[in-house]
Amino acid sequence: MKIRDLESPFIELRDVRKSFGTTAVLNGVDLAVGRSEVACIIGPSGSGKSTVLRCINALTRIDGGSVRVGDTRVDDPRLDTQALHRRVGIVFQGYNLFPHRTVLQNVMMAPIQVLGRERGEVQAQARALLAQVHLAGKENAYPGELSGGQQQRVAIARSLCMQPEVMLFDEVTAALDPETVKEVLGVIQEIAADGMTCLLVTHEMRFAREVADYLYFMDQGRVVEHGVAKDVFNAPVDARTRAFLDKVL
Amino acid sequence: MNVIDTLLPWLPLMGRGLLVNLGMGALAMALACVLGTLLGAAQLAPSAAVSRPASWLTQLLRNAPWLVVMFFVMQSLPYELPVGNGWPFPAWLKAVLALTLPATGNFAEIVRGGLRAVPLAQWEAATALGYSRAARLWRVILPQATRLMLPPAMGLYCVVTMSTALGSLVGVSEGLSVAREVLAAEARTELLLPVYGVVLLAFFLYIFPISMLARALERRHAGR
Repeated sequence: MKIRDLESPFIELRDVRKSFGTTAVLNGVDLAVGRSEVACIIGPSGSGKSTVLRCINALTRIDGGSVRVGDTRVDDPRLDTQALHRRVGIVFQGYNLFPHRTVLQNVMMAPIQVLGRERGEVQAQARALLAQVHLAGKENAYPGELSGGQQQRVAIARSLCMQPEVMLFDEVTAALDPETVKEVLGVIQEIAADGMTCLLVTHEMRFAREVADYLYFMDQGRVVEHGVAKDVFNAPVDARTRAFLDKVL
Repeated sequence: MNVIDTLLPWLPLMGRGLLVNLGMGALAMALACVLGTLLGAAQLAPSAAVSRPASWLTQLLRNAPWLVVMFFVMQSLPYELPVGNGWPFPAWLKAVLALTLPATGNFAEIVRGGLRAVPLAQWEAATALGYSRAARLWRVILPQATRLMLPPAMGLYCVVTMSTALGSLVGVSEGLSVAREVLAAEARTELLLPVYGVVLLAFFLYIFPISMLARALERRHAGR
């Protein structure tokens, strides 16, 4: 059975189950994201949204079901996790920049040390990316000297410099001041407009409404409702979605 | 002859002896850094087959009395190294190895503490960027942990350097041994305190600044 009407989804989760100890976090999640699509997962806290992202790039290993990214089976026990991580970028709520390295070094480290790319070429790309996230001139600053919004944009540039095929954003604005939320969302919007496949977990409903092509609503470890973002926002079908949207909008 | 005039000619010899202490201390500490880093990292290995023996070994090494280890090592190591026709195994080198053992145990604890103090999110960020487990440790976590490890490591270095004087009990010609030879040669009881006083002062003048620097670094980190 198809989850949705996509020829060949780039990311596909089928009946994904995950428990931490006796607590079931994912109770059979089905989800699909097409190439160059922007999909958002919304839902109440503890509904398993972040766990879905972590299962997609194997930071969390699933108990049952299947996860596929491109032609890679993420649930394969012999999965080359490093190869997967090179293709799937993730940006965390807490930025997690390396505090002992400058902004430029943060962006350049992994492409040189992990991918073995040539230093000069990486530096040119890193500078271009920092300019793209509106941080030109901050190359030699240390993360501790930047605001939360600036740090988060560095984290986005760092992830992009690995030239991933997919970007996962895990509540990337949740820890930010309201005035800096906008600058980060603006950057994500630009990345999405460039054709990057993006999957976001977010509490920013306005953003989800404006930028997302497709929307998943999760509750208690399940996808309760999904559809074209505007449709779900305008005419939610499930009672739980309606209740949630009433509360947050 | 007064005390100072008697001591003055001996000072160069005692100085050379004390240089042996510094050399032994530096070498033992260097070895302990390498071995202790491996042992400390091994304690955090995901596999219990690695981490548990590493913890046991660490506890064994750091809870053994230094002098007892010294005697034990001196007795158990051969007089000659089994290389070619047999190389003499100098006492100072044996003493260095003897100091390395407890120092390694202590350094392993410093490494383990430093690594654990780096937030788990840093491991995760490195994982997500495609770093292998070893590369995460080496490229991302250890450089951050080093900053936290530096003050206690300097403290350990002070202890190791001071402990090199134990070498005098097992026949190493270091500063304290030379001092005793000086006393034997002069055979004057009123020289006892001044000669040992010189050794004491020399150690103190070397150790004290390092110890103060370590405290200053620690305060700076705590203030952050």
